[in-house]
Amino acid sequence: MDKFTYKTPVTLEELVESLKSANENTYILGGGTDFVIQMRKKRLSQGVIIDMTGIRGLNEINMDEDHIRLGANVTYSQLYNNPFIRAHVACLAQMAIKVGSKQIQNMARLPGNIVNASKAGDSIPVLLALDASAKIINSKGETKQIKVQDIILGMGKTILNRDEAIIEILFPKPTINTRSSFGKIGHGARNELTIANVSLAMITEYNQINNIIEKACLVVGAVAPVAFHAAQAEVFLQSKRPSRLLIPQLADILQKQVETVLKGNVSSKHKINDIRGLAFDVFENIFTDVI
Amino acid sequence: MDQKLKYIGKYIPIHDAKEKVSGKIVYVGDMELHGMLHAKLVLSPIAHGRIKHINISKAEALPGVIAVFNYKNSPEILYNAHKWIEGIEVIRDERLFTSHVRFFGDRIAAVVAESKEIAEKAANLIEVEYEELPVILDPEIAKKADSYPIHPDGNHFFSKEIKCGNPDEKMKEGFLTIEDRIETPKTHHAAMETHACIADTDQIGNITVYTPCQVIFQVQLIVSEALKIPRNKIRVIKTTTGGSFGGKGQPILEPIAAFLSYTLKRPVKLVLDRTEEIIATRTRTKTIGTVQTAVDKEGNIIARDIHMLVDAGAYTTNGEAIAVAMGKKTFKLYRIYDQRYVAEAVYTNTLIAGACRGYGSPQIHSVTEINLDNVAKALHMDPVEFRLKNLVHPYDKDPTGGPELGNARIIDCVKKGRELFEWDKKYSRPKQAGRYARGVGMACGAHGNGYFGAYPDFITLSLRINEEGTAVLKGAFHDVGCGTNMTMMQIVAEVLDLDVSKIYIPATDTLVSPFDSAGTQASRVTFVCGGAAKKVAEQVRAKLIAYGAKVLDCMEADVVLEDGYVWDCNSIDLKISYGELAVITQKRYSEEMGATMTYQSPGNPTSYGAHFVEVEVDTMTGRVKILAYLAVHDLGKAINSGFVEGQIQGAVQMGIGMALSEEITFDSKGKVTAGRFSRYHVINAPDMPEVQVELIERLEDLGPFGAKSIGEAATVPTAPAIINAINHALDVNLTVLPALPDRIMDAIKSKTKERV
Repeated sequence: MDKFTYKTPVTLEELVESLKSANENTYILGGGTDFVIQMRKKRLSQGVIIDMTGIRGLNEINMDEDHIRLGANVTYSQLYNNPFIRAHVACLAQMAIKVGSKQIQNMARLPGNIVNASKAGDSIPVLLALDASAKIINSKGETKQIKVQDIILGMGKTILNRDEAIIEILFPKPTINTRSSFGKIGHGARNELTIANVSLAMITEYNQINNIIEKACLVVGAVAPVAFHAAQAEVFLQSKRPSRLLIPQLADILQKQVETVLKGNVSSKHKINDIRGLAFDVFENIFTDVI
Repeated sequence: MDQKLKYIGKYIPIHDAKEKVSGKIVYVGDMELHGMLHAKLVLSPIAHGRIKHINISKAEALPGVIAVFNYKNSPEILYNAHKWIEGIEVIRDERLFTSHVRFFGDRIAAVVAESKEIAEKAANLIEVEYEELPVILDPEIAKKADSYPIHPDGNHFFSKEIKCGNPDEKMKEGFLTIEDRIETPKTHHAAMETHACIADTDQIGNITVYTPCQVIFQVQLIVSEALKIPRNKIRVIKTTTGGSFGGKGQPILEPIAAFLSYTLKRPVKLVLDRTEEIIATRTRTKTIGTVQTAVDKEGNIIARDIHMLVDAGAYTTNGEAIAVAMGKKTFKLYRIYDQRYVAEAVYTNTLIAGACRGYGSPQIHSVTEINLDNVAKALHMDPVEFRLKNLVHPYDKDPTGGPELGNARIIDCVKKGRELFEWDKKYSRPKQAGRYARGVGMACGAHGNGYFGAYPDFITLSLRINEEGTAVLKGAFHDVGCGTNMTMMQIVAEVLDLDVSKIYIPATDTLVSPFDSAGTQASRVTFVCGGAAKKVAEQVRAKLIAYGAKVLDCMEADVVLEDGYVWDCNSIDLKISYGELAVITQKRYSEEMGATMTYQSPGNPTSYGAHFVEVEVDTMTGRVKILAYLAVHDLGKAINSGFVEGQIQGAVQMGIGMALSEEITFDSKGKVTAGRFSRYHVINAPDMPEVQVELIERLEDLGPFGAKSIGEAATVPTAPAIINAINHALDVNLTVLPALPDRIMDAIKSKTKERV
């Protein structure tokens, strides 16, 4: 008979216990915003669901000497409502407030985009730009830390095993010089509540005293199966003084790179326009006070 | 007069508001009948072909499957679901399940099973081998005589010309002539409730169909035709409807569910999911319009020539009717005495077109109103000034001899809008340089009030005040969620001077509702059915007075009716309730306090509107934001102010979609690429502008309390107003709707090229 077994671990120990019998019919449930859709699409009617959301301590945003640590149950709403994140990790907060609808933001959690390796996942370019890692626990209770960059192999493909679950996302603490922003433009003509057609995360180390961009990190999402660093743009911005004159050049470089990635795919040609708009949005957002 | 109105013009929530917001209301999808089976449709995965082999054995073998039906074991009878009343000539080309698929989504089979899940599983097990045929997606190719015929008589199935004066001669006299070619998209209605239906059959073969429909008698007619079963054996009960917008006008699932239930002698439920809803029901008709307008130096329109190519999709349905309906509107908005309208309708291997809010009006007005802005631009005239010179005046005649326009107040709408919107200031504002370009646009629209002058337009109603002093109004009303029932209740309450909560409208049911000729179609409900409600209430009021006078032993002129009580104005102490009077009248005079009457529509005046919009276009990405929106409507009189505002807000939301984002797209083989809401983009709450609503209530002589239609009329000017605003912002000429970011960027780029 078709049925689901629903497991509700409340401690990491219980999670490890639940993972022990994990197989291809085991589903790890966060906010459910991906899983419920998959359940309908793939007509899933049996298996084991491990509900992560009741695990104590995983819904906290913490900081240690070097890292910001986000528990696996931190929702997008929590991210943009957190004053520290808003002030110092702007790209993360700006991304969180643009994910789906309010209802989605209240339910969805960061690991979802990673484990589903979704091309349009809004958080992926931000996590790559932040050089974030995921802390993973397995059925033996062992934990390891892997860069998000190395977890995602392709669309819908990751290195994660069935008996592994992400319990934390962590990334280096921003410095006083860190500035960042995120923008996305969706499918179709809508301005809000969209699925990303192109997204751009940008993080810079900006030395205000010298008025120099010491380092820039730009990651383009939703264009290729996996989000990628816009390496030429990163090199271009290094050691530059922020100014409005830089933006068209930056936009040209990004457009060229997106064009190369798209390889003449006509149905996606608007992504080339969109990345230009995003280059202006994101750069202006970061340097609005100095340009 | 207005001060005296107790119920008319007020906002009273829809009659089932409490049940809806508390989740208690039962839609057909929620209904469960004893022994009920579930059906799932099997739809064509190709756009054109013939079935060579169909293998249903695996599906039939699945435990829980009751039966599988396809062209081999279902009626071959052809019908046209558009037919709503006997006596209309239609092309019959649709059947329950086809062996010749003509679009991606054509029905080839249905599986009936003990559960929905089993039916879905079995539907996937059906194997079909097709002989693929050439696919025609472009109506201009379909129009060619040598295009591969989708139906036996070829693809070009209808032509119609409507003309007044001598447009060819006058066209030559123009100081200037502007021609445009405008395309409007196929769009989806996007009602929250998808199509759904339950049919149940009793031991002696009587079928009961439960359906959220727009016309119960049309469902009865089509089920009867498609199944060759006498009409009296088919009972149709309208269920609570979660939106329709024209999409539930034609019976699509009803004949299928009825057939399945009739054959299996068990109740069968059929509910579509969103993808099926998009591809396998009806769409707004795609059109390609060319229009040529000639004006003199002063900006008077002296001649116009319009050609509309109507893409009916794979089956005829209302292709002829909509082609004609569009044409009629073009003679009712401006004083143009030399004008020709030609329409041609063709089949393509695309989704079937049908009625969609406005019934062609949004399309034809998109073509003509965008063109008029281009004319004004060529004349260096303000588009508002230009329109004011040419718009119709109250009580103008239709130059083709069609129904008279009535108290046509479009000029009032435009003048009021100009003032409230601060049009003059906004239109002449110098353009700012930079990434974001702002512009303003406006457009006018005209829409009808029923079928008078074209088709039978009447309704029979029965109103009775019962012994408790409450009233029952029986009629085939089809409230699709827009407040029809409350509108009727307010009209009756006003006439009888009886609290609206004491008026009851029973379910709409072919077995008990008196006949109505057309249902919720053609913007006829408030004007025609509301007119009937007023008339029948007036008859009952006359009875209350007549018997009141007898019982109170006074002059009829001295009888006072107020809030459910009747008395003689000379003896205020003796008040009797309507209920008591009804009882005494029955006892003493063997007469009931009620009336039954058939009401013929007295005319078909025109409803008008003018919309004003300000947009901001991102010239880097081609995305549009609507900054300000004003809708001014001449609707005679609002019966329920809240409903009217809601209708206009919703209509603008649909119109914005048509202008900016909504389009059902196909790949080169005719497969739908926008079959879900992540690919088919309706405008949702965060992108909705504040819509300011302004009403011109100058009372239409023929309407109940002066009322005219609004629900459809309100979506007519939206798309052209927005396109005109974008054209104004960017100084371009967009000709393909919706104005998607790509199209806007292409227009900007081609303008830049021109300058170089």
